[in-house]
Amino acid sequence: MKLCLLLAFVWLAISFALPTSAQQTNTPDPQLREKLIAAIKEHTDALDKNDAAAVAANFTKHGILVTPGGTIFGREAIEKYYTDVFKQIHLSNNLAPVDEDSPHMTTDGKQMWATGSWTATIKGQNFGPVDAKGHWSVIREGDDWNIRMLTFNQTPPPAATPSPTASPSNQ
Amino acid sequence: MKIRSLLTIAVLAISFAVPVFAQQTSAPDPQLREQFVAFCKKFDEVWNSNDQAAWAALFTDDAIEVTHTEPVYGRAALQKLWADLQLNFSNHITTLDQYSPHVIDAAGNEVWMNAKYSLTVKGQNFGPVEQKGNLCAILVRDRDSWKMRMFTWNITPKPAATPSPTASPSNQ
Repeated sequence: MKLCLLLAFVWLAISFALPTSAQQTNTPDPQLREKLIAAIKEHTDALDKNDAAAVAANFTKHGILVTPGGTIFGREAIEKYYTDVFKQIHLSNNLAPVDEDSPHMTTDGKQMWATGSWTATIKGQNFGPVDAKGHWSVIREGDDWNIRMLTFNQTPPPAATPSPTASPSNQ
Repeated sequence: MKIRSLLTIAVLAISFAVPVFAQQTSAPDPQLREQFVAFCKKFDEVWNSNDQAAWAALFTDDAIEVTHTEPVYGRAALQKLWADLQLNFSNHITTLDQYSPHVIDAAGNEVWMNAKYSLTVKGQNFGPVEQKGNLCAILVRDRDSWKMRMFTWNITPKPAATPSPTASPSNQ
């Protein structure tokens, strides 16, 4: 059995075991939530335009982006990352709804953190378009609530059902 | 080409574009960093022990874990999640990034951190397989220890398999 199929089983095992969400204890400030939603829209609009500089402008100077492939430190490096990404793929239909209990203020009121989900359509030079989705968490700070740290993951697609005509090499 | 393969390619396209690190100025307090290096070691020990209660004890009552399928709220739900998975973990290694932890509040009772992880996982009907990725966490001080208030992780995709020359059209 191929490794990717095994990993798909792991993902599915985790996915199916997840309980229904419960115990959301935080009631966010409505105005702060509005500001967060507006800031996220700027981010997703920049992603839809495939504009690396505009995406990076949503981060603080020392912002951190945690991707599945690694962690990128600093706005300048983040802009370079997206410049490279947009040479390979085109993003559209970016949405990033905020979880109901977000944002959360830190105790000193200088930072907020939030969680949510994302969806996007990805088209490469030789593939797609395909729909992708996942989840994220973010820490924001400053007058414009720019991103200090953003981590995202990707929901794996369902494991493919083995074709009855598949050759042994594909099992 | 199947959707799974397309998505793998898409994620790889994004992942491989990650550049060499740059531009970070704030060095963490050495003593605080020591605490978090120790926290990561404890985190690894708990994973490798497969002790679900000990794992849940690393979280606050109102913790949120952001998985790749949905957020999970509360320590009790997190412990149930692990129990329901029926997975066995080993070789868990967490490597704190060089700039972590980052202090949030003036009193130093809230911090956030980034790290890499790798592990081996075995299910009842599969594995063992190796997995790695990246994580972030917000932690709050709890007497002499730290507990996770928010925990997000991702999985680094495996390189796409080269299509077999004998593959049937249905598998392309």
